Amino acid sequence: MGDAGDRSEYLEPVIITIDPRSALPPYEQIRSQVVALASSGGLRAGTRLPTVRTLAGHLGLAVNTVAHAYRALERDGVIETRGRHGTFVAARDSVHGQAQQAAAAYADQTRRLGLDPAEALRLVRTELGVQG
Amino acid sequence: MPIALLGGAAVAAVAVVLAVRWPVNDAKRAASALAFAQKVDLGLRPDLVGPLGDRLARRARLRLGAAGAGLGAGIVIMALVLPGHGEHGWPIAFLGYWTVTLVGYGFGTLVVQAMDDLGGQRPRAAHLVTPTVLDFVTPAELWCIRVMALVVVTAAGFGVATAGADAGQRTAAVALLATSALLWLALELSIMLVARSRPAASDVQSLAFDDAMRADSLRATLSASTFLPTLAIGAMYDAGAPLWFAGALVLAYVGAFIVFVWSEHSPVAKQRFRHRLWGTPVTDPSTLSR
Repeated sequence: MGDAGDRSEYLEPVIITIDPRSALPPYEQIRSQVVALASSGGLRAGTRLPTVRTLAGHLGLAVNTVAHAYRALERDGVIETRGRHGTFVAARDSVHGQAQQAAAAYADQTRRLGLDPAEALRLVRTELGVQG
Repeated sequence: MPIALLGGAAVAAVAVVLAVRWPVNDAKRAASALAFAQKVDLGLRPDLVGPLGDRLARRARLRLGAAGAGLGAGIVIMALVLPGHGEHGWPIAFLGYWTVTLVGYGFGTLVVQAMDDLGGQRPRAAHLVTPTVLDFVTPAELWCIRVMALVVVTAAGFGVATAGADAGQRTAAVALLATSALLWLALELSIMLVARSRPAASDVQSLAFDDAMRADSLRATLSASTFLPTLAIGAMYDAGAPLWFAGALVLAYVGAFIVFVWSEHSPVAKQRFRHRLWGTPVTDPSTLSR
């Protein structure tokens, strides 16, 4: 809170919302919102996230669901676990990091759609204008 | 003794029954929701009027119940303490009464917060960064209360150090010190738990109201504890404390009290809960006044 008074512009609220009626599974809702907040700067690098148990309690979810989301975020390099100190938003190069997050989101989406990995790669190559 | 127990139980029971049975219709709920929205300067969507009115009614019932239970407990505590400790018993009795009331209020707020559930199929919103007490009250408010708590414990500690060989006086002094320390611990624990408890919100706007209610409850709890040092200082004065020592504690208390009251009523304190959601209040799009 120390720098709250210095911020002069409208900030994106750093909140997370879970909609049980959404087609997206709850873990994916958590993952995508954390990725979006980390990309937009709403969640700064080094910000400590709540424990899995706390967030699960606040959102009315199973502990395993939140743990699943945290594992996926850690795998994508969005967050990092520092032993007993807790889970933090990882410091990352903004351009590379955002590209990596977009790639992770694309990979998840294609998996959900049942696309073959080779076909998913072909679509990316086409979009990038790369042959072969 | 049995009469005091019965009297305390009767007072507490009447207050609890009144708190539970007090009629609050939909119009009253809506009016209280609108009044609260104006007080905290937040826009109130029609779909939030009902849930907010319900929560405010529950909170009002809790306050009445906690006050009644505290009063009942106070009667019992006085009946237990006063005969054994004479004039030294009054500060213990009052501190005991306020400990029960504040602990009841603090932990009662947690119970109300837990009851404010949204049901299974509604969206649920929470802060992604766990709030702390300082997201709801200013550092000045919190530290003033801590200074006052230190004044209480120091005064009670002085009583123990100068109690002498008289067993009754020593027991009274130790009881006062224990009650003071317990009160401080309970206050710190309850405000920390209230700040971190589960929110009942489905989006940003309802989370803002949840935060505003939390800030209001925390401020009320802190505010209710501000006069406690007078009891401990009075007891210390009776125990024959040196003038410079008593004067220093009185000055510390009066200084902390003035700063607390000033901080509590400052616009910064009232808007504090917004920082967690929107940074500064100046550009907050949810406000009623712009």
